[in-house]
Amino acid sequence: MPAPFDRNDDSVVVIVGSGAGGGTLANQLAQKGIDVVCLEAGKRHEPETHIDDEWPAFNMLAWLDNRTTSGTWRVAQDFPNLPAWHSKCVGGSPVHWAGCCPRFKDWEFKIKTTYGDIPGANMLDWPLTLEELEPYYDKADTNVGVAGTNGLPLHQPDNNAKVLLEGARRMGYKNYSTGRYGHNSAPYDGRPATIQDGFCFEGNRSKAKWSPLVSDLPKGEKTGHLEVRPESMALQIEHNGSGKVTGVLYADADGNHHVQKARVVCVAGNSIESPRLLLNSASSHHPDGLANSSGEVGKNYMRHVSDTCWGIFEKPVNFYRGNTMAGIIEDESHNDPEGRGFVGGFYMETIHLGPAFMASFMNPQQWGRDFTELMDAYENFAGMWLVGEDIPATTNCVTLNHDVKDQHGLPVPNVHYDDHKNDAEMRDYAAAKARELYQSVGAIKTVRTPPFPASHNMGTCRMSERPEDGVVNKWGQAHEVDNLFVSDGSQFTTGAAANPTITIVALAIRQADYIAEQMSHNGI
Amino acid sequence: MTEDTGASKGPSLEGQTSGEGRMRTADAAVSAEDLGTSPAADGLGELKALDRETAEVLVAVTRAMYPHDRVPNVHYERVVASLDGKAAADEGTGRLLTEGVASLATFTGRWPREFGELPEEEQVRALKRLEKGAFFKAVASEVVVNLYSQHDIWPYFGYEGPSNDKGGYVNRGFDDIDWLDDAPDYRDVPVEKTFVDPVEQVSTEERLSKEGQ
Ligand SMILES: Cc1cc2nc3c(=O)[nH]c(=O)nc-3n(C[C@H](O)[C@H](O)[C@H](O)COP(=O)(O)OP(=O)(O)OC[C@H]3O[C@@H](n4cnc5c(N)ncnc54)[C@H](O)[C@@H]3O)c2cc1C
Repeated sequence: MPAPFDRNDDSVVVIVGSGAGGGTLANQLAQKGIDVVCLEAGKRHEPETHIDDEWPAFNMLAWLDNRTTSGTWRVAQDFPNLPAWHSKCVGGSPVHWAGCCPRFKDWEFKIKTTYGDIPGANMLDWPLTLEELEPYYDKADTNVGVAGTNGLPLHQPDNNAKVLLEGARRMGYKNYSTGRYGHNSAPYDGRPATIQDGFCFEGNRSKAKWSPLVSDLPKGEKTGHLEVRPESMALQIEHNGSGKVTGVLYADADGNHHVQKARVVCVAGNSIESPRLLLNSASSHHPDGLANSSGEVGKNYMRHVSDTCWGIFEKPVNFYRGNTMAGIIEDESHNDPEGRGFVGGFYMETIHLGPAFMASFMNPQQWGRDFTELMDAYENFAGMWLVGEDIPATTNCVTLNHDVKDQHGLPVPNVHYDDHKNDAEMRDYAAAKARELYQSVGAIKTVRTPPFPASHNMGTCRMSERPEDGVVNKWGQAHEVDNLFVSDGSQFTTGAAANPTITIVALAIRQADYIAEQMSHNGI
Repeated sequence: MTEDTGASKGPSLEGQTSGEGRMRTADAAVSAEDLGTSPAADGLGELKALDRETAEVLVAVTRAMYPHDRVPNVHYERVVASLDGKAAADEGTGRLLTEGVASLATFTGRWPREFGELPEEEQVRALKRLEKGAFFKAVASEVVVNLYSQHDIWPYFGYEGPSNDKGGYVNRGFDDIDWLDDAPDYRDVPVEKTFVDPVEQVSTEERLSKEGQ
């Protein structure tokens, strides 16, 4: 029976979330002839309806359900109810994303071994190596259409990138380019080349930018094996006493509750909602939350060390024209604790914002002429985002806040985060390098912007060799529940310095092979 | 945090920012007429909840908080019109705004309606005393979101806005920067200006010395 599927059909794989992890997995399974129901909390906003305007686009695409925050991180003061920036729409956060696609380095899969134990950290090596993942990285690059791979040229540098790359040259850096970027540099996969529209964060009307919305989901739907069900918010995963999950309880657009039966359930709601769903699925069989005997569900929340540097120049840059983040310096992405005083690496990547977001994010809570003089120099801005590895810590976590309920009556997630000393030191070091780089090309001012709500969310259902150290095994399969998988960034054992999405996509493609293989001999 | 490299040594934002009497080159290209927002136009429109005087004082307050000398009042008036809409929808907001404006008398020693005529330093001194309170925060966050989202304000910042309908920027200057080869190297120019981060309460100097520079 082709899609749509009956709610009582217990032969389907149910995937919660249609983003980088869920959307990729859905298509991969459908291509193998496996029937999939993908429950997506958000609406389907086709590319033609995307808006070149920051706040309206944000209000259309972003996850705005209430959340709370705690901890000493700056975000808790600046954005107490918006700890993270990710999507609530069909296609998930890649509808918002820019497209930077660096891969993990081999040692970033084993930081416990490489860095040793660090006070305050919950270090662990991945149960997976770069060598094992590399073939899937290649498939992920092909799936996404990453510039610099698969015969696709690197992007032409835009104004913002040109400033960054000239600064990199003057700083003596060696490894800088427009980088691997998941946005067509030439026509590819039935989608056109970039028109340098400058609105990567606001969706993408031209479809040049990869997202499951324009790629994986329509491909999967074409097979007849995939049904994407928008405005379907998963509330609980149902399970029985014999250690299996049996279906997903969800609310439709009108708030009516339904159960979709399932043979396999894959959770891919991004790293705040995925652990929240497992915690909200507690039962007498799983009193601390589904698949949570280890107590690690929701723990080790990572969001990357983040800082932004704006350089202000004497002449216009017009940095808002062109791809939002196609420009990257990789020289600082190594591990050099002796030389730099912190473990882990970071990348320097271009970024631009329009005046609306710039006013909100440049220096939240700042006002007066100090602020407006900077805004007045907007066209002379260049911008770079600094993104580096943050330290996994048990105390950084997503928990249920039973005092605050969402529109479905469920406790909202609380996100707690304290910057580790290592994070703070990396951030200051990176900010100083960024300032120096812009000064080297004539910046007369630099502005340091504190962390944005996290666009990179990772680690809350982490992979581990041993069941007591984490939630899922090297395939993303729950240690305690064979037919339950985690398929998004929550699986990350540690976060590396790299932007996470290409790794999420690679893991999803690999997981699809494993699920198909297990289903074929009734392992699940 | 802002870090100002030695402006006295040559490079400066002079002519680029909107300080007293200064206009950027871009301003010349932006006439209010082109924008369909004549400086005289009334952005307040028909008020729904606030009284006229309160609304007019709020216009002065929003400008004092986020002063852009070259931006006509109509843009600030639209911010206040939006606040008025919120006051109409929510009595608490209405009270917050009305009482906040009335409280300016306490902080300035003058009638609220006179706020707009006060010298800028006095306006700023009063606002500084208010900045931690709910009134200030409600007004400030409205300005930040609303003012800078107005499409016809963007030309004042040299921002061209939506591009997909025009084929993106690929043929409209996405890579037209032409001064980089001649760009001066300012790495040795000392950092001069102190700027205190309002949240972390750290000055530029403190942060730099912490960084060991
Ligand atoms: C502005 C921005 C720029 C970015 N740029 C980059 C970049 O350049 N490079 C990079 O690598 N990454 C980037 N990212 C991050 C990237 O988008 C995420 O890392 C990635 O999409 C995460 O994938 P995911 O599958 O974990 O979750 P998502 O892609 O967020 O998908 C999760 C989906 O699940 C849905 N969902 C959640 N809970 C439920 C529920 N209970 N029931 C049903 N559905 C649910 C959500 O609505 C969402 O659609 C960016 C993100 C943003 C916001």
